[in-house]
Amino acid sequence: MDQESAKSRKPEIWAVGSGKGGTGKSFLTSSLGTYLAAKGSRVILIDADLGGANLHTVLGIAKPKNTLTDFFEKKIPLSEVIVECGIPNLRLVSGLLSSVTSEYINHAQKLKFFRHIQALDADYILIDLGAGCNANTIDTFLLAAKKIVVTTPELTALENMYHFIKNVYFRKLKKVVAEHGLKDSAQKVLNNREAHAIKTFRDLMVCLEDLSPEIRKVLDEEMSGLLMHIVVNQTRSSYDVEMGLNIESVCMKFLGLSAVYAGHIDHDDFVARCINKKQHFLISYAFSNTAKEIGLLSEAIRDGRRINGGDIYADRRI
Amino acid sequence: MPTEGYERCFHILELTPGASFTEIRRKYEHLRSFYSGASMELSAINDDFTEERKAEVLREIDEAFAKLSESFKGKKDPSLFMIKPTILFSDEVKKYLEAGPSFSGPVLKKIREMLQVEFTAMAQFTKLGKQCFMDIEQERFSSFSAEVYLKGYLTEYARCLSLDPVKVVDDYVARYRSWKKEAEMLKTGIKGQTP
Repeated sequence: MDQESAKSRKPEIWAVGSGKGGTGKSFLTSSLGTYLAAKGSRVILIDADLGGANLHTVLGIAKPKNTLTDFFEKKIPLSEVIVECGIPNLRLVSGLLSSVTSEYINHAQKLKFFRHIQALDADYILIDLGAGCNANTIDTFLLAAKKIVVTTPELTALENMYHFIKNVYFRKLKKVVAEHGLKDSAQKVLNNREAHAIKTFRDLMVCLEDLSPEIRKVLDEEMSGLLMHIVVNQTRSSYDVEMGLNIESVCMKFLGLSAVYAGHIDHDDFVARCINKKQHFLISYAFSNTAKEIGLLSEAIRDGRRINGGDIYADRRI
Repeated sequence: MPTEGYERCFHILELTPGASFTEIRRKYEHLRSFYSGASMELSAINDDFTEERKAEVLREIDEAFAKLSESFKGKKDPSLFMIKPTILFSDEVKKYLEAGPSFSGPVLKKIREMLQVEFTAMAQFTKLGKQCFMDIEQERFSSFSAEVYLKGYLTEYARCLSLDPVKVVDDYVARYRSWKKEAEMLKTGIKGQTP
């Protein structure tokens, strides 16, 4: 019983990642956080983009005094790094730039960081990750219960997004294989991909599953829980909106992975204008269409639903 | 109906079991055209893309659709199979169109609303301003500078809603002409009165 009640007090962690920079991770993180906070949940935002932290700028607040750098270097508790954002229920842990970048954080520091995150007192913890696929970023992403991948409707962003998703799966796969003591058989396949004529990611999954019923069971159990929530940001046409569905389909059919299209955010010039003026978009334009979309999106992710578009092809009658 | 294998078909078409035939066909058509073309979402996976897998996916989609539509044959309205693809009118719209309404502004507005097509989407596809579609629906005839433009707008409007452009243009332009005639008569009438 004690364990259960302790578990229920644990915050739910959301992580926002993407392969490419500039797809709107910080904007999405701050917006999701603000929406959840406005709905009455206690939210802590963590800016884990240590190389280029600027979540505070998107939130329209001044540079915080204490940052994650202090946590890592001066060993200040994480709870003392938290600052208020001027929005009820919403607080921030800034990861402001300094000499430390996430590359230099060692394994012990990382584990300590994860422990401290999980011990924070909040309902939701939203982590804004840096762009790219370095190991620390992906480990942090795997820590989250809700894994959100944001992309824009551009080829470069899509390429990097798929790369990111594959890296996440691959890292998880390696961990699962190690945890279940399947290293001998499975690791051999992982290491000798050429010998097994494995060219694509899907080949690898198929090959691993065919190794033995035991491995298939383990993979089914462990990997099926790994679900990505796709967000397409800066959509400009109904084709862009539809893109999320196609990404879902490609992930399933070509990569053999499960993804859910959580929603989209239309391109809105006022977002950039607000950020430049250090205004919080959701507060300045609370009744805009973009704000409405963010609301729908947040609820879809929170409730684990797909995009709410019964008739998403409706506009394509021509 | 034996359910064996059907679940897999629904899974391939990315639907939940129990989807209607309209949904199944719409999804099939979408997947078919998506995987036949060279779209960005697919090419972005780079190394993981192989022509063999693409052919396999297309074959799976075809097979799943064939199997599912077989199960619908003889049960549902057979006319469902005869409608041209991409024109998927609900029963409500079909009934409305079968009554053969004359395409006036309010009638077009009603059809568009039943089909849930937004002005924004129409504007995007046709590269025309929303205003001209609004003018058509409101029958603001004076905003059309010449009949030839109106005909062009109407054709685009009809295409957006998958209506017959010839009938739409005929019906609507007849209304436009009678308005024009009246307006001209009024004009000359006024002129005739003043010395």
